[in-house]
Amino acid sequence: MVLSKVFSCRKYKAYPTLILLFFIAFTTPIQAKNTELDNTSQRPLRVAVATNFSLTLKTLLPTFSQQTGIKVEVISGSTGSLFQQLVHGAPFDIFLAADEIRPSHLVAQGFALKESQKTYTIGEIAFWSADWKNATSKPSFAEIKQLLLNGQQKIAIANPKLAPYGKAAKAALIQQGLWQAVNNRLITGINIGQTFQQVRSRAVSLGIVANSQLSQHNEAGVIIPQHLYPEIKQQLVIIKASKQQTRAQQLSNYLLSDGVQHQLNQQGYRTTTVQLLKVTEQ
Amino acid sequence: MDDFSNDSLALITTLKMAGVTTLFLLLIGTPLAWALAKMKSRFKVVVEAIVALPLVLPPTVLGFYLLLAFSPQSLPGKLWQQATGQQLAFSFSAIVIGSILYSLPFVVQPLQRAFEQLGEDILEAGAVLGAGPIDRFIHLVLPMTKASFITAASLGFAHTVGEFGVVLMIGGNIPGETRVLSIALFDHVEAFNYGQAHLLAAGLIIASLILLSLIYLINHQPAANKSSLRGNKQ
Repeated sequence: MVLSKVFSCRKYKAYPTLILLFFIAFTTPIQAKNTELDNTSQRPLRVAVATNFSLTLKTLLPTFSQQTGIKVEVISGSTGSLFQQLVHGAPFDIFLAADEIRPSHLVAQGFALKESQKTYTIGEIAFWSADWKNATSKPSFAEIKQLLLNGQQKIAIANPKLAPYGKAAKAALIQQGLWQAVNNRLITGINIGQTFQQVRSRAVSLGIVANSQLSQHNEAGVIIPQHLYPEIKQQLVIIKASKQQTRAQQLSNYLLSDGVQHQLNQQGYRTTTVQLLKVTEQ
Repeated sequence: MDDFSNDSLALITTLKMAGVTTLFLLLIGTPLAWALAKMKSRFKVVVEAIVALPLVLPPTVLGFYLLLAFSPQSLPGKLWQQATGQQLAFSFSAIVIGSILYSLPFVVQPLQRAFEQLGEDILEAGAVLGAGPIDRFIHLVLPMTKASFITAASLGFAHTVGEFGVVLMIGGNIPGETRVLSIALFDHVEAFNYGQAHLLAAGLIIASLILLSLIYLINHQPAANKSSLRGNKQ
């Protein structure tokens, strides 16, 4: 009883303030003063990238760093969560999304530079089963349709609400009149990476995955024709709050260069420049 | 390879986060546990429930509100920026604050139990002999509840190392600042680097197992300590 009175006495009122000051001193970096000048030269370029493109990006970066001397940090996550983080002030310099919606939102809300918004690649989706190891066991598109209409098997797609590749998968299923039939047999992954894992581990026997994932792992699926679903335009934007916009622009230019676009084409993406060339030829 | 240096950086960040979090958990949790142990008010249950909330709430709830609070557009985020010149969201400070809230019950609860079992008579005897409150705390309370302090600190530390949801939401996965082991592991799995994922996952299991075994080892001793203390007294 005595103690409780002692403990609540005025002497200890300063304790919370003390802890707060101590906390600030303890957790904030010491070089706070000289950030303005040194930050740009010291801090690597921070790239927030949609998970489905991060593996590809990492294969492209060594050449970029060699050519420009720019060090790059890759932060991967789902397009949706990276978008949320950017809106709440995440210190990224450039954002490679898996869709065009989130970059457009960032531009509209004033978080990203309008003129920096570019389509850096176009995604493709494909039916895939881990059992299709050789060409003979691979069914045709029509056979898969039949299987989905009459079969009882589960099918894995990425969450159509969150993941651009899931949205495309749903659109294709609807277009082919299969959505009703498969609706209650869907296994939805949080992103296309999880869907790929579910199919690769044979937890689900059939799924709709990104063609780029298949070529990264030397697998082949049955490509869903592009006209069955709206294009998965993967766009990038440079962040307005970034102090490294010039270097971010260099990365953007590099990704859109013919050489890189050609590489992307070989890695299961449809390229943007090839299309542009066709348009200009006509 | 390059990625291994990333993992060791994540390990250092994790240890730093857990260490700093544990320090502040003890600084905040000790007076809080003491107040709760001595509290007679009917609001005691409410305070206890608030402290225990992180045990039942999904980390996404805490992460969601902290994300809103820490953003530069909101008041706490703004005040922090004015005071320190740094942004709070997606900083090391942010994940430490998140961890302190998230691991609070793991520190407060064992300490509160220990303080509740403390005999008032010894403390009063100390007071009669002229020991001030801080003196009594250091020389009487601390030695008698040492084991509970070790339990509380280790549980707080271990739970912070194992934290994922809150850090994922408010950390932003920045190497050397907010990319901790659990996040690095998640990245490896997402990128199909199963080899490195195994390394981290197995490492975390073994380290946690050792730490928890040590906690239980210590937990089996205080019974003996306490009775010997009581014995001496009489």
